[in-house]
Amino acid sequence: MMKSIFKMFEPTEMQFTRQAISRLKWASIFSFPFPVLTAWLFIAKSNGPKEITEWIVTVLMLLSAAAFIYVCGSRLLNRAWSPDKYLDESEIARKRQSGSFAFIWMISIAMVVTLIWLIWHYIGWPIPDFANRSGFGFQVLAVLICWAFIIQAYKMSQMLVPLLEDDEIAELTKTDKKYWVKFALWVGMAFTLTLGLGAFDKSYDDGAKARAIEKCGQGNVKSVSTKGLFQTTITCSNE
Amino acid sequence: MLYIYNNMIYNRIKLLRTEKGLSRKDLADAVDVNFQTIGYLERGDYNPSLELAFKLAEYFDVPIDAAFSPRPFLSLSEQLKAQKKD
Repeated sequence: MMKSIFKMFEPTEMQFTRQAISRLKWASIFSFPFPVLTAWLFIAKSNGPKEITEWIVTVLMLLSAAAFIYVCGSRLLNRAWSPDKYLDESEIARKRQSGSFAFIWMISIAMVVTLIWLIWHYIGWPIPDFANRSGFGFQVLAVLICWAFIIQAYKMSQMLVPLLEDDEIAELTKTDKKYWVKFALWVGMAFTLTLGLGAFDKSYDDGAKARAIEKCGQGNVKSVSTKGLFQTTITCSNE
Repeated sequence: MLYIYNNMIYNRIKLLRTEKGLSRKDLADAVDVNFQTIGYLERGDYNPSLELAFKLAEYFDVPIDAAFSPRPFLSLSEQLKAQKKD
């Protein structure tokens, strides 16, 4: 059963053209900002960015979401997370090489983050507002986990080399009629992901504000601060 | 002493495959690997396992050292020159 499912998602010959591999390489590079921008959306947004900043971040997020979805949907890169028994020997070699590359980078990044945190803490510099929120540590961890996935995808894409000759590509291109369907699906998913995250964030903030007004009454809300997903601290001005 | 140049095993897979008129996919199916493994082998980007090397040699019905070598294979003209000398 599982074998036939993995067989369905095996890479096709068309994915080994120079252009397809180049697209994958660029997509993996452009997907690096995606987790950071998502974290920004959830944490730093409420700390006072101007509307124009929000627009710029939303556009950047849309572009990086498109790249991220392209990377996630790539059959070549998905092989990095398949069990060994469904892969052949060259795929296993690529998977292990990219896995160890991602591991080394993640350890290095985690060490640098820890070092910065320690230095910051011991020197006693003031902590920025966004870093002082309770969800910040979790967000950093989530970004690092996402990056582990993207770093591995990046390394895998760097290891791929074009295998097809020009005449073979021409022959295969004739048979690929689903190009526009795939393109539309990809753009649609990028919009859904970006707007979905934005809508979730907005509805979460609106919900907290509505609860504050309900508790304190209109015009009496002093502050609303959220902790994690389920805790909201409301301070009324008349308390 | 055997020295493997550039950590690479040279092979004649492409030559043997085209001689038989096979596509990469046909050969891959015959030896139970993905076509990309065959592609990487032909480009010299991947050193096969012993098991795959034996499978390929057996499939083409040639001795394993006729298909794989730790040293670059001689070109046809070099082979002819060497034969003349002998």
